[in-house]
Amino acid sequence: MSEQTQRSEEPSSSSKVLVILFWGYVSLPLAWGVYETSKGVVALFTG
Amino acid sequence: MSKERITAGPGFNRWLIPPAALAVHLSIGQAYAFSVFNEPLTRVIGINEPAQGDWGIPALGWIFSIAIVFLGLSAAVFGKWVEDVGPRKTMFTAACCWGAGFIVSAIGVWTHQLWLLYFGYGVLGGIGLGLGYISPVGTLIRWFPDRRGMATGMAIMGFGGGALIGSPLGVSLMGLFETDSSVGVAPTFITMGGLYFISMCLGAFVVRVPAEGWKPEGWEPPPESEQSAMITRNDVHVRDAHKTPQFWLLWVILCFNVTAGIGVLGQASVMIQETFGGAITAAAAAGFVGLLSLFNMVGRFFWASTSDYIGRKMTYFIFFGLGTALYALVPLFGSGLNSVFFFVLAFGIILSMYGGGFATIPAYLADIFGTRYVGAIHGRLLTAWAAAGVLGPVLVNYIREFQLNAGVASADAYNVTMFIMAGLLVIGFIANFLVKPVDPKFHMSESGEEEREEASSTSASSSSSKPAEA
Repeated sequence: MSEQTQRSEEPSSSSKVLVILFWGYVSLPLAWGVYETSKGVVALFTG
Repeated sequence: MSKERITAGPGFNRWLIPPAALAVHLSIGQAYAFSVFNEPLTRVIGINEPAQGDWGIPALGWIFSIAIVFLGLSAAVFGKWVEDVGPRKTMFTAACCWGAGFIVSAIGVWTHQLWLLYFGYGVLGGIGLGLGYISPVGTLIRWFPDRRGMATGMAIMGFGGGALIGSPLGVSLMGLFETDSSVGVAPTFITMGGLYFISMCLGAFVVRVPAEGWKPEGWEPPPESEQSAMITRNDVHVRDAHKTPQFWLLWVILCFNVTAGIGVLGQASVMIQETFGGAITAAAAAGFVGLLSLFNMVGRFFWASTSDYIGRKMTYFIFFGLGTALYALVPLFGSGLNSVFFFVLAFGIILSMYGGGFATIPAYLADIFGTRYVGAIHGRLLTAWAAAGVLGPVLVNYIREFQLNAGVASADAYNVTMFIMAGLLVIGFIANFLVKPVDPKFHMSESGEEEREEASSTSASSSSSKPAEA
């Protein structure tokens, strides 16, 4: 295993853009879901 | 789509794997929000109110139950297949099952055939849930050997977060499609099925497996002398895992940790209203449920990441130790001190540890059984979830009924249940204490290793001829 060990090479700039885009793709709906849920949570503290 | 063809080439960015896993888990996490369809489904014929021939809530409740049963069954049965074919084919299969489940259910609503919803969302969707849930786990652990807990925590956080998206999305779409002659559920199913199918396929398209022997830049496994004895460098075959006491101890750990949380989650709205009498309105109680969902989701990432630093065993000691104390204190915070703040805070922490229990268990399994078959072993361990799914609600609901029938005030109806939950967590604490490294006789033999190397050399030659682009 040690003889064949591969090291991670520096990711290309295009892959960094892809990472940002894909993280945005999953984060935005999640943020919307958290926001919608938080609106309901306010009722717990305001009665 | 085969495992051999998705081995990452040099320069692939491993931070693409967590969002690929999230794309799947955020989609299948919708399952926890299925209840938003229950009420509209009771008036498919009557439209404005239930009419003769409309379905009742008890019959509709089976849709979710069947889905969870098939989640557990498919994860247990197909776990080995998932390891063999790799994450892309599994994610794509999960996408097909999950998307098709919605489409078949939509046909069931249009034709008013309940069995089509049982088969569509329950059976097909349930298989999609099971495959989707376990598909990225082994891959994430191999990409993040330095942060196993954080990596799986991010993905499994998505399953908790999926309900936060699925619930308002379902409500919004039903509002959009609702007409004088339709409650809007069928077109909502079609739309959501399509969206989730595309999203999961995107995850499947992006996911890659690391080349054999790959390590993150600048990371070296700690020397054996410095590494915790609780983290093995060997692998246990999936066919042997259940023969070890460690598997069953971890089964008990997961089962009791989930039992304690799942019963509360299902009854949270009624519980807070009954405990505080008229002080908590229905809207405030719904806010309490939402807050618990947030704690559940955040806890998955927080506790799984924390376990990378303090160790899995210590993390579960905290779950069971702190959980026991909080469950025992809930009656004091509720009917004793009448403190909504401490009551909510206690359950928030408890639910964060409920989510944390789900998210940390894959890393615990990898520590104990090695990474080779961790996805398959995780699949089999999820039968503990199915058992807890029955045990938790039964404990909370039936003991409440028993207490009320015995003349106990509704504010005190949950006190005995809380003490029983605390007792279950004590058993979990003991089970965690008993977890030791696996007996070396269960480690994969040299021949097993040869088999593995043979497979990896095939993989390497395939990847060298067709390197995957980032």
